[in-house]
Amino acid sequence: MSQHPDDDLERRLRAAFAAKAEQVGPHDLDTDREDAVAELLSRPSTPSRVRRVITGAGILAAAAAAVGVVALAIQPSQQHTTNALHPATTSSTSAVLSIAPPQPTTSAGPAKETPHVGQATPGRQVSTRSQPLTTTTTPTTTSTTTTQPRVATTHSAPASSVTQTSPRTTLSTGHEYAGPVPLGDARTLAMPQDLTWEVTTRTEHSMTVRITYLPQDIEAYWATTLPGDGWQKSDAGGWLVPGSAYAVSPITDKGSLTVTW
Amino acid sequence: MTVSASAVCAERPYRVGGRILDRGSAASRDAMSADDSVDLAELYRTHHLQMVRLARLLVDDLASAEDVVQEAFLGMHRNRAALRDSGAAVGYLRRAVVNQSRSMLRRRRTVRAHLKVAEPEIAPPADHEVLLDEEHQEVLRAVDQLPPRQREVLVLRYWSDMSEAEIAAALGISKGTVKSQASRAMSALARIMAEGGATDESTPR
Repeated sequence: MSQHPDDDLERRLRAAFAAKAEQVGPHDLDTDREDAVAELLSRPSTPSRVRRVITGAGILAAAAAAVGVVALAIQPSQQHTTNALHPATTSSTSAVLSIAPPQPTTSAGPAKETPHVGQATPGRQVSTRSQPLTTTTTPTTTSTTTTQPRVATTHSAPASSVTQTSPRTTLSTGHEYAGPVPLGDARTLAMPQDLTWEVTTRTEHSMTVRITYLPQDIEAYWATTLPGDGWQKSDAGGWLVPGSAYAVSPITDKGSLTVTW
Repeated sequence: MTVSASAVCAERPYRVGGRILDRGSAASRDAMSADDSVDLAELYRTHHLQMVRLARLLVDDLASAEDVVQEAFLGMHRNRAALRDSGAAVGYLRRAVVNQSRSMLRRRRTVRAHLKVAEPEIAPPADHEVLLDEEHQEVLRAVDQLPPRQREVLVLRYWSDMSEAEIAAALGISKGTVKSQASRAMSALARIMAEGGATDESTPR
């Protein structure tokens, strides 16, 4: 700028600009326009058309993503339910089974154990799932009971005899179970409390089971339990039901035993 | 916005509605609260007249000046979400007014060049200069003969009392350019007035 602030030209410029600016007073302005603009400025600005389109597209994308997530979340549980119910829809037979009182065998299992209804076998599958268990007390129930709503059941009575649908095909390899080992559809092999086992091989009339957790002396347990169910000690060291095909082999060094029926 | 209006405000008082307000006055604080979003209605109430005067110095006629200021405020309203720094609102507004004024003059020149017959002449009222002193009229006629950029620099410097940095921010040019434009403008003014060339026939805008 000028190195002489008090220069006469600068003074004249300031005075001329000020005089011209002062010609415009508040009363010279278009008041109608003033009011209209002031009113418009007091409103929140509306988003532009492009911004609205982008926002709408974003909302649609978010909704689609949410639907996808829900669909993915639902699909596994539906698949699980289908697998569990599958034996019930293919088998019309039913059985009356006596099972030992289930007890929680995992840290996730409180007093209420929660195997899945579709896997209603005498030996309950060890699971950390929290769905309640359905146990029906109606003798000779059919497979349709698997469609009943899930009801929480507390297993507190020791040695209770529970009638339960028993689709034996629900036993599968690779899963841990607890409780009695089913021998066909009509008889079970009692197992100590908290013992867990898994199926290693299975045929039409036999099944090899490997004990995965043995909390107590199983021979002593069987010696006190099995005779009451009609079992006898066999010469080979296992157990059998006289006059029938039911037999239990001795337990191998690896904790496996084979049951036949 | 390269210069915060808070920094601008700290330097010197500025005119609002024909009176001088301290930068920290209640009116300016109301319109430029640091933490809230820009209250455009309040900004309009406190700075409308000042901006119309600024625009009139740049575009000469009052109706065009009001158009310029209205468009500047509406532009801020449309881009309200982008106004993060409420303290910079006045500087942003001043820059918008200058830019709009420049656009107005450019459109006016274009219209005059191509639609001279159809377009009515846009000129200040015949008596508007008469109301000014002869001395002021002489200076303003000389200013009218300057290029637009130099006129803008002089108006912002000697009417808005803005510093070189503020003018640079308002016009979107460097401080060096401001300095050189101001220097050339003053030299040209002195020459025009010395030659008595500031006649009634001012440069058409």
